[in-house]
Amino acid sequence: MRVFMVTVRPGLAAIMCGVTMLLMSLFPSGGRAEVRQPYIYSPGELKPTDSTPRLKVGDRAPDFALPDLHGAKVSLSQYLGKKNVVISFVPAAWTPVCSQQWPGYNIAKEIFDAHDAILLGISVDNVPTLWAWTNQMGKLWFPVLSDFWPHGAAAVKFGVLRADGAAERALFVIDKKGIIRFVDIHDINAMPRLEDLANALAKLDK
Amino acid sequence: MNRKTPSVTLAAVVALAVLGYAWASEPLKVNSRTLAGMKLAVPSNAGEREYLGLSGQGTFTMPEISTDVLIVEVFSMYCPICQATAEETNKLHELIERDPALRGKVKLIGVGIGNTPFEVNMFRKKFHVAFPLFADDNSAIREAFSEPVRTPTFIIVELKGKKKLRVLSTSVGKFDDAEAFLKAVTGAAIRK
Repeated sequence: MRVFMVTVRPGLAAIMCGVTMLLMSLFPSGGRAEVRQPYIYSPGELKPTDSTPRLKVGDRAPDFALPDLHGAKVSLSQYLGKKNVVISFVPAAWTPVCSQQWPGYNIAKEIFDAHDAILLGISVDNVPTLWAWTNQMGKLWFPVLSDFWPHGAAAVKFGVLRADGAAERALFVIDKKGIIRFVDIHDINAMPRLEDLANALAKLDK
Repeated sequence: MNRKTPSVTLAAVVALAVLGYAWASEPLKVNSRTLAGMKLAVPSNAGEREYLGLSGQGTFTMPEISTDVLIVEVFSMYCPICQATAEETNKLHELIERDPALRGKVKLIGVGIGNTPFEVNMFRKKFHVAFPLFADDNSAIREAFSEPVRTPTFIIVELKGKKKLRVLSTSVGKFDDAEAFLKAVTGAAIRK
């Protein structure tokens, strides 16, 4: 305190306060503190895919029943004859790309609706983790399913469980007859393009 | 020592503490020259071309936009915070357009980092965005950033002729009050 009393002149203090006010006014809501990025774990660049594909277009999709975030079980077969199904496997909660992929689908509901399709989001995380992670995305319109136990059982059936126990970033489009019509086992480090999925859904109508 | 000393001292300590925090956290820097060189597609929408003062087809750069101050929102269709900010950024655009002192002198664009035109269009439709949004599929804008891009980032730019611009300030993250944000922007431009 003594140091300032001796060295800081009123004029200088006024200038400093002015600069401070300017800085604060430029970040009206606290600036960088608002960004959620700090919660996201960065695994670095990963091997693009790390599993052996088991399914291809034309195959019958294997059934599964997995818990959603509200205590119910959701099976693939419950949509047979009723809805086309898009399955989005994502590697893990709280990681880059995944943390944005579902929020993207969340504002693209009209594309799914236009082709009478439901989206099922699946990861190998347990329900509490998925609950916390997806709640900070906003309100999602599609079910999120936990493939935690037996670990990755659905991912294994679809051939998308990676060697480290995470899932691939994979999309499957399954028609109302239960037949796989589109497979994209994507580079885990990159976002699948929305138009590729939209085009795959558009082909269901033909 | 006169009687003013304690309050002046306190003000000085507070100011130094805040400035110290700002310096210690190394605020984002956006390179003016790199940003000025970035190519964007001339909008196919005539209204957007008119808003930006552009004609023709092909590509353009930000200094070609007819305005004094440009606000660039770096966003992504996939970013939940950008989605949550969409309403306020729309309001910011409306506030500018409604103010005769600002209309035509302060303009707003969005650059969708890593987004295709299809994805940008989804964002535009979903949130009824009335200002021009551009796809930056190759994430070219990150070349101008001193650190990995966080979305949304707002870059306040002063345009200097048809080829140059100067970055006045940046703001990372959501803002809650479009009016306060606009005041900060116009304040920064006036104090330039």
